[in-house]
Amino acid sequence: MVQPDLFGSTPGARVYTVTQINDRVRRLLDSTFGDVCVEGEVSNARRHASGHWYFTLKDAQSQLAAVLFRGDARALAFDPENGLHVRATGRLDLYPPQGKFQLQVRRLQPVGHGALELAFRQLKEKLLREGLFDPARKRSLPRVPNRVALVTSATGAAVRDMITTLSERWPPITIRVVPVSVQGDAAPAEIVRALQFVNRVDAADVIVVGRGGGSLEDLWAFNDEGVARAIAASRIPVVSAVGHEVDTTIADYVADVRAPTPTAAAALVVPQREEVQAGLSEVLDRMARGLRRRCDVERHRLESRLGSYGFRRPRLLLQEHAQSLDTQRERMLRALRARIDEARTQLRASRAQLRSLSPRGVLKRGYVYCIDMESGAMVTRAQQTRSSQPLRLHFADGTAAARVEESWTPYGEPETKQEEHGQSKSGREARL
Amino acid sequence: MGKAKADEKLDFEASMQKLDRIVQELETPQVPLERAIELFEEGLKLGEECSTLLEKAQARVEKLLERADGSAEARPMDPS
Repeated sequence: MVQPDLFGSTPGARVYTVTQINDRVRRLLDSTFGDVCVEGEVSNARRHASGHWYFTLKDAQSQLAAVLFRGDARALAFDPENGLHVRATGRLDLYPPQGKFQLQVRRLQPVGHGALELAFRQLKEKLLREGLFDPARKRSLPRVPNRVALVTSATGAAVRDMITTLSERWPPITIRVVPVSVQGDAAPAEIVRALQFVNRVDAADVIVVGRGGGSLEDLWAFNDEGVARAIAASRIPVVSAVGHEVDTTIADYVADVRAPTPTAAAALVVPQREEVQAGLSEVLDRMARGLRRRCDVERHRLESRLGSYGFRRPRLLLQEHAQSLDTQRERMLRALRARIDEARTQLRASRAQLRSLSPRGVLKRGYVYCIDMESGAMVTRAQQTRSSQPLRLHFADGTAAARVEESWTPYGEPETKQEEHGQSKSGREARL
Repeated sequence: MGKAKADEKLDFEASMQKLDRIVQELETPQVPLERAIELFEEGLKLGEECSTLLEKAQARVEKLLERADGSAEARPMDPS
């Protein structure tokens, strides 16, 4: 055994530099322990601008410094927070610049509840603080949308159920399925992109974002912060419809309306056709009643005015006029009838007179007229006759053929002597 | 894109709102009779249009995809 000298130095003892001893300890820690899992409570947690997390793990008696580098922190669903009871897995290390011994954490697991549950609570609190769930910022859904966008998987029961429910309830609808992955690592980014796309091209009046039921992990995309922010940023109202009734996601909190299931969402965004039809008839009835009431009011006003003196007087006058008009018409008719009678009497008299002037009347009195049978002309003078000329003599009751014996004209005016009885007198002969 | 197509259709919500306004005005006692008749006829026409649409309409289902240039492409989709 080497004795220390007067000055306390141990001859022959190895002297390390600080760096050397730190390095030695560092290697010793690593080789002795390797991966360790330490359970304790997180305190003094802070995130550095670099993205690394620094905190202390402690129990009732002691504490251990811990660091969570950025790469590992990113893989963690939740953030380390003070008071959190955790199991930290990593390697023991010594940080040479400070000679500080610390646990380099690669995996952090909450004790007592799941990591996802914790992450959920943390994001919920964060967005709540930001006011993203504020009822005041919720947009109201259109009463009757023309177009609905379904941001969901193009396959599976959820989209089918929604299409069926939408088209049954409200046939005038245009349904636009915007296909996305609804689970897996790619899902959140696809959902965000789809929401932005529908808004950019103004493809719908309302958006339903969601999926059918599944495990907590299956539904995880709807607890993603990016998805939550994309829903909040949507100009078009968003209805969330994730899983079953019991599953509530961050998307549900931030959406304008939360539907318990995809089918419920479909029923929520469009009205029922029959209800609208009933509403329409009701509106038309109200219109008809409105107009009828308006007409009744108008009629009453009119009637009350007609009953007033101003209206009664002209009406009375009118009645008087109408009466006198009737009288006058009667009088006119009577005068007219008298005139017609008078005319009829005159006509009868004229007809009798005319009849007495007819040649037949003359013939009845014994006169005869005479026609040249060859020329058919009437013979009115004896001078017009010659010997043996055939004549037809017309009597009142018939005719007789005759022949001229001789003509004799002693009066200057010629006269015809006729063979048969009755001489022709140079009397008047009326022609028909 | 499909927007123009959708706009050709009767905007149901707008029609319903218009109908509501018509009824309200009709039920105002001050509305002149001529105006009331005019409103009634307008409302009747709107109501009939809406009714006809509801009777005849059939849902259109399409898949909306984003092209590389960011524009939209609508493809008919088999609902089954």
